[in-house]
Amino acid sequence: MTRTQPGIIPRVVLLAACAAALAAGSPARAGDAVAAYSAANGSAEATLGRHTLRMLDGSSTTLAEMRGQVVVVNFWATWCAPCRRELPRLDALHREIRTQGARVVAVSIDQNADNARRFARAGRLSMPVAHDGPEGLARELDLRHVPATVVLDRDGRIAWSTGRSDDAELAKLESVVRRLLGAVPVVADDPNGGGR
Amino acid sequence: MGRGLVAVLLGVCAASPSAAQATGDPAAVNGLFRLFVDSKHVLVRSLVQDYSMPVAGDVNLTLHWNNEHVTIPGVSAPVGSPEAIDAITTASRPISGDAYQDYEKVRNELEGQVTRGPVAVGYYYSMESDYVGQQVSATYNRDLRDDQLNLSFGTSWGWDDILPLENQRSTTAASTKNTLHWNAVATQLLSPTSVVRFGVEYNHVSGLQHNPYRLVYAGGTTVPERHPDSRERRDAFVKFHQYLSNRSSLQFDYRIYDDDWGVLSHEIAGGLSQYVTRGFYARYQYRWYRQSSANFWSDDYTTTQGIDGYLTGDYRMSPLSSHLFGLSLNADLSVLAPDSPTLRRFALTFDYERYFNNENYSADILETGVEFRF
Amino acid sequence: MKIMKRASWRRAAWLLLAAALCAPSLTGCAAKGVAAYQRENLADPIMAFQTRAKKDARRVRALEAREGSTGGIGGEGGGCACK
Repeated sequence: MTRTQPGIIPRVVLLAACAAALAAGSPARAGDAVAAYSAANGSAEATLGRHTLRMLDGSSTTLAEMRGQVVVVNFWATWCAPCRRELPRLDALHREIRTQGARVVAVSIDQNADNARRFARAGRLSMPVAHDGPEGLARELDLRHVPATVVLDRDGRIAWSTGRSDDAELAKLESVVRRLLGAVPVVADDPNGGGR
Repeated sequence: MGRGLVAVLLGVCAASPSAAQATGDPAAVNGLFRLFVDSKHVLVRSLVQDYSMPVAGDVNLTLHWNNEHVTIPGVSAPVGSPEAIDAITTASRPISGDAYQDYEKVRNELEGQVTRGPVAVGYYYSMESDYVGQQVSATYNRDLRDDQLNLSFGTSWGWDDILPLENQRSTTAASTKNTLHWNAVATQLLSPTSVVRFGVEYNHVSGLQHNPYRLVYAGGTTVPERHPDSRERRDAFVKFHQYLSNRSSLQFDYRIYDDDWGVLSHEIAGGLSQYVTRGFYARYQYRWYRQSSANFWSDDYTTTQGIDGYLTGDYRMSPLSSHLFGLSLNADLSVLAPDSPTLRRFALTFDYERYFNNENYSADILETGVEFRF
Repeated sequence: MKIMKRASWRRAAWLLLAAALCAPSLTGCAAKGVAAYQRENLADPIMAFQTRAKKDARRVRALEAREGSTGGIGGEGGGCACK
């Protein structure tokens, strides 16, 4: 009645080995996914640029129209807890950089735009928020993680991307944006310079 | 066994990246009131409070306090009778001179848990008049394969001090009980609308594991209850959830359990959750349970030695089957009242369960809860 | 219902867990899996295991006092692809 169950340690070790073997392939991050898309299709930037974004205020725009500005594109969802946590900090970043020729655009992948609208209103977000749903850019780029953040330089090229939202990563994002803002625009008389 | 488990956990932890992840959860306070009433007129009132808050960086702290007040009605039965009633807290009562009075007992549970990224460690403490329980725990979980699969490993060590109240017929002195537990769980996404969870759990319990106040009729006399002082308990379970297109979901659970006392059981449970309106859903559940008896259980011990030296008056060691029906209502006011800066921070829950088994025992459990997010 | 022999249920339990770990490789699900933008329904409170974790723990504790077995609640989160 008190005999130790035989063979339990080898079984536990076997299970742990299975788990470790599964862990051997490290998961792709959202930034990796975007880079992989570019490698396979040649132009994540073109996809990002041409896609029409429907803003919560009823207007429409494209990222191509924002060329000349540094744009931080953040894919988020109300059902994603890390997304909800980082949005206020991104909103603060937007307030800091919007007078410097840059902006943050939050793109909601919620199925229902009302959820995104409700969250934006409750959080008093000042940054532009678009509702794109799960079948828009997120599917086109085959995002593997949310939140996913892509930084576009003034020429619309992907300067940096990430699929993480911890404090260290957000600090890195802020420094990337500030560095890009310190760079002189390549084409000083770009008709889209100065942004909206 | 313990050394092997520690070695495995260290190996898994060493193989993983050390970066912490943000949880994204806001600070929240949960308050819950629970009422348990059964067919023996035992009444348990529980006040549960949970407090969860992110602290520095990616660290989250959770505190839990449960205050339970148990009332066991007066019993017209001989001292040490198997009629001694176990309540929801497993509180039992000494039956002595004042057995005909209601017996009241208060139990307080405190638990703290610190979570950082994939690791959580916790400490648990509970105290009542004749029982002090403590436990330390640790869990580790990791997402694999693009977050399609989550593996979780947990372990805990509990040590209890049992101090039976003075009872002239109890021969049980102060004792201890220790519990080593571990679990391994895998959660796998099957599709955008379905997910499955598998798990195995193991407990090794050593020390006092019978009611210190109970006597058993055997061989024409009454003798103190005697259970083995070691018990190995194992279970494996599977849970499956399926989302349905009408904003509802189906849940199916199965658990198989056995131990080295001879108890083997099956549990099958099902649930249906349905949104009534956005932010408000109802859940219906049913649970079926059946177990075999312990090796040393008998309803008629012929000698005072019982079976293999053990005797029990605990009906939980007997063949048992039970049913449970439940209804749960959940309202998230951030959806129902999004424009109210105060109300949108609240969520409300209401649960009712009806339980009955083949021992002519039944119970009603009522819970109401409030969550406040800030 | 017939009760399984103890040795065979133990084998079944270990096989069950090993199958959970290896099933993605065998079925090919891991090759593509569920993308982040497809997980809204999985994160819904009526689907998430975490929603009822505390309630299930309370129920197991109450049933332990009424029945001879225990368990069935271990495990942490996963599933939302949120980092």
